[in-house]
Amino acid sequence: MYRSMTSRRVRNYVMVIVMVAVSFLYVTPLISIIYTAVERGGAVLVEAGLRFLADLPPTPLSTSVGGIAPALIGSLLASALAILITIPIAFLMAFYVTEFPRHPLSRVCEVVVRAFSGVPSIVVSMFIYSTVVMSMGTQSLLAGSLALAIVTLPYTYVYFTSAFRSIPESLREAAMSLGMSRVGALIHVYVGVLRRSLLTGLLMSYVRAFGDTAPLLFTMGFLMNAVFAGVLQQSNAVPLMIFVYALSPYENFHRVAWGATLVLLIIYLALFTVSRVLVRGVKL
Amino acid sequence: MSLYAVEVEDLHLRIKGVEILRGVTLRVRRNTLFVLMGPSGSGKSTFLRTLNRLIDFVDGVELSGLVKVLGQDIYSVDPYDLRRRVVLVSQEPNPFPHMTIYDNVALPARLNKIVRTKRELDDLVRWALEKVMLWEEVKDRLKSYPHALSGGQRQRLCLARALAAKPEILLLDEPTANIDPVNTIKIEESLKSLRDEVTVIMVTHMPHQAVRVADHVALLHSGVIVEEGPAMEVFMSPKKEVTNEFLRGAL
Repeated sequence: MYRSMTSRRVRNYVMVIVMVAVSFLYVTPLISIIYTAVERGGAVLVEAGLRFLADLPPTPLSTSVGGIAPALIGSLLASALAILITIPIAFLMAFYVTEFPRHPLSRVCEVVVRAFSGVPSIVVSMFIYSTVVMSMGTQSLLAGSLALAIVTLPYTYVYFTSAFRSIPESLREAAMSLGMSRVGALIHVYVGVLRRSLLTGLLMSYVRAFGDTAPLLFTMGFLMNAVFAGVLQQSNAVPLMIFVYALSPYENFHRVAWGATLVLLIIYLALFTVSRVLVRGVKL
Repeated sequence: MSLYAVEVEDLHLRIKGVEILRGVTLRVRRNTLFVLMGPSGSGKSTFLRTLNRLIDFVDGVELSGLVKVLGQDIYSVDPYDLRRRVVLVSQEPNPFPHMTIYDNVALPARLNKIVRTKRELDDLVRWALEKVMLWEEVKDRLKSYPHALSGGQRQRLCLARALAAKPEILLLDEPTANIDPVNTIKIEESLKSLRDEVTVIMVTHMPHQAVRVADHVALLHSGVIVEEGPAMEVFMSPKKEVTNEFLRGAL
């Protein structure tokens, strides 16, 4: 009995040590990335101040770091436009698939979304380039938004589907037994019960769109000399700017890229915190 | 107008090939408190959910026979309208957690446009909460959320919500199965006071509860109505041995 207890404790300690070590290995690169972004990007933000968010980018040999205004505005608008397209489609698909899981149309939806989620985002960028950009004759904020919408759709759909599936069966029955239709239950019950999940899904979709680079490579353009030129004109995006500037040979461009990386991280953390803190959950 | 709230003839029901109800024939008079008794797994809840077509949401249901509710075949009427007139209260308390106590009770009245003014709505909410003996306990916290209530209070809130829909038939699926004796007594008292306003059909596996509240009872066993009749008659002199065993708690 005594030996058995000791053996169990030893095994427990060993497993705890293994789990802590694995967690540490997993978290270390993340902490390293955040630390580097804060260290290098922080210096840029301290030097430039809030002008970093409002100024145009620097010229290659300029001594100042300038700003990321075209990329920031482009990212904010393109991501917003993308989720305006994505959210209603993903929401309705998720609702339909959850309510009618065995309907053939639901199976089609599932297959289509899975297929979309497996498509490399650079292929989506090429697809939008060959259809929208070629027909419009220019890269544009709209084309970038469409590419982001396609890439974000499976992610948003999965988020909403798991939210709808989390509704307790007892609440469904309560709604139905009062004579509500499925749509009535959606409006009066599900949306209220799931408000935290749905808003988190919305914000996470926005963050996902905000941070994606590949869909924008052939679609968005690279606007440098103006903050905003119009929805049907070239624009810019923060991840795109980080990508292009990080590959450039100029030292001040590298610094701008680090500053933009930190801005991206801050926006991500801010939106994540907003979704967790400001939106009150429903106690079941 | 039919004398009966519910008329069922030779109802057979299968779910995914398994026969749950096997030729149920039953009549429930209007404005009575009818208790359908039976051991667990006898098909009571399925029967109850058939009456307002909640069973439609279950996959693989096959049904034959005639079910008339309030004089109409349930498959000849709009199911949503049917559910507004025949409201079910489940075994598990299921108030809407994102709504206040007031809004939970007010919701069906708003949806069904039962009242026109805020004053009428206030009166209806109060009436429903008084009917289930919850008004005194919650009148100062109508804007609170249901999670602040005990399990028994939540179940009474669900009963109040159902009453506020002004149903013609109230279906109760073991409404006191998960709550304490004090709340059980309050719910039973509420049900007795409802006889004149609504037909109540309650399912229970507890014979003692049926003895306390029922006007009329039926025993469902393995999907078949074994015995039915006025409550006192069935309890005092059951005609079938199965009924005797159930009442003794031997089933």
